[in-house]
Amino acid sequence: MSVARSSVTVKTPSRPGPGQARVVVATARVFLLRFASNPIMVIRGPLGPFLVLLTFHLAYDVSGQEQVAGLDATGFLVVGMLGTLVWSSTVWGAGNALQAEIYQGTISAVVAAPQRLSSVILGYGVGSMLFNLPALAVSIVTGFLLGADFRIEHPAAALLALLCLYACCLCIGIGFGGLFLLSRQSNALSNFLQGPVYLLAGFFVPRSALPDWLHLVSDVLPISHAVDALHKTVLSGASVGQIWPQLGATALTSLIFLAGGMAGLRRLDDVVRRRGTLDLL
Amino acid sequence: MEAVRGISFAVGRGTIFGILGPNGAGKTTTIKMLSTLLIPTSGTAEVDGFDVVRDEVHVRRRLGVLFGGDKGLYNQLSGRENLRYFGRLYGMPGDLIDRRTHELLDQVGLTTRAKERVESYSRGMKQRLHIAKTLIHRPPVVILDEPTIGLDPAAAIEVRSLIADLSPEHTVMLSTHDMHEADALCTELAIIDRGLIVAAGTPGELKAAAPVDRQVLIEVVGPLVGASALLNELAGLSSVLDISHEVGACDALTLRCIDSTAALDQGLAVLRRSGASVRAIEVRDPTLEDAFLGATGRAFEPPASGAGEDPR
Repeated sequence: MSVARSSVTVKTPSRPGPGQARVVVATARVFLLRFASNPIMVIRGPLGPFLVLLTFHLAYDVSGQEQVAGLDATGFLVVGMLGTLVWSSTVWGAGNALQAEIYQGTISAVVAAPQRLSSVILGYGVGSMLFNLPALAVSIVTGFLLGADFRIEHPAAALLALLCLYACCLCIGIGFGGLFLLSRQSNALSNFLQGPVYLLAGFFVPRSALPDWLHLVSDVLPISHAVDALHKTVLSGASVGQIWPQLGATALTSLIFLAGGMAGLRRLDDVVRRRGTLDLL
Repeated sequence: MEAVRGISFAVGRGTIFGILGPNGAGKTTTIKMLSTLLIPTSGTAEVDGFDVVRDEVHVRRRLGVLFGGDKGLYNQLSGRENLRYFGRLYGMPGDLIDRRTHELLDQVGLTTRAKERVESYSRGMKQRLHIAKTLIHRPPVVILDEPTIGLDPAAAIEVRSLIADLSPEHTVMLSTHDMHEADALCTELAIIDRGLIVAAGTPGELKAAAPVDRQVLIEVVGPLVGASALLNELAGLSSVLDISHEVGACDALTLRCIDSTAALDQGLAVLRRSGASVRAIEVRDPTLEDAFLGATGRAFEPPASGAGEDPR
């Protein structure tokens, strides 16, 4: 088959991909525009973390536990809530975004464009995380209201740890993105991925409480190390110099997820296009 | 299951090439392969000189695809926002996107509704926006999969008018099950059935090859006066093969002919000279439906209104 066979020489651009950063920004914008149009989503965003935090705080309060792994219990919960928000953004934003495209009927148009699919996934992740910023702020304010003992002596270190948390979650999002392309059970997959990380990354119970074998599994997740770094900077006043091991572990495991995810995405994209199931629900 | 097999065709630059066939014939499968969404199990395909498997990014940059069905747009976004996003997906800079968005919204008649959410658009408006989206990056090749399916007649006419204007700036490949649409729009056509191209050529060539007669039916007021001589004169016309005469309250003549236009002209001239008053005329030229029938041995079955294409 040949369409537009001609004697005209077509100039091939030396760089076939468009500006991927612009695709990320544009996709994030589309995400925000789509979800900002849904009042329930806008209200639910900040309300959820407030209720979850309050619930866990009361549970710890009832049990009389003021410290968790040597850290202030309420502060520990707030950091865990930040981790939960960023991780949820990843699962429901980045990975699940491809399924949302299938439901919307736009997946074919998106894949038929020359951009990298990973840029679209990344854009959805960024958009989802931006959308969750008010929830993040509510979590911190709730922490203050509940008497959290934040000990941030090096704000730059705390900010760096938070950024690492975001970055590593985006890497994991790309890591799992291909699965969402392949699976037609996105909600089940999202829930399947979401739950275990709550436990493994030490969001609401300390990682030190995990059995040894589970601790090893936990170490594989970049988010576990990023949350450790946040605990240290936000609740123990650690400086950048004191969290390098956690940052290094976050970077290393994130790169593994990113590299594996990119390769997996290409492979699964190929599989889906061979099967012809790209746009099937 | 093989959705298509042994399909081979070439589309000339700047033409509108149609793939005509019933539901499940393999039209959408062919389009998905050309638009790199489906990797063929064997064979090769090129778009604008680039292989759809080896050079998929190059193919995607040169291609604008309108996928069938009523989906494919972000309903919560405005028409303008949809175009802006798809412009970004094709790597266009912001100022160029703004310019193209303005041009295209004007071209498809949606300027005044550009800021409204797509969910408030009618089906016809959505399809016009689809076309604008398909053209946002000025692709040399445009593929349109069933662009008028499910549209009301007025909206379908508008969309067809837009499609007609795409050539010769764009090379257009149009998939349709609508015979009249294919006949009116396409420079060349391939009739596809059960995964095979069963006939190809210009609409005129396909119709000419159809194994049915051209006929001119003329009904006169009252019985023919001097019928025998008149029938002899009509039968002797150069464009007429034979003639049949049905006697009734109003006599009817059927001229089987080589060229219906000439037969009509000559036949009417004869009748006027004889003083007969013509009550009704019907010209039956072969249609693409006849061409389909001739190529496949069975009648064309259009899909139910609003039905989609094959799922692959």
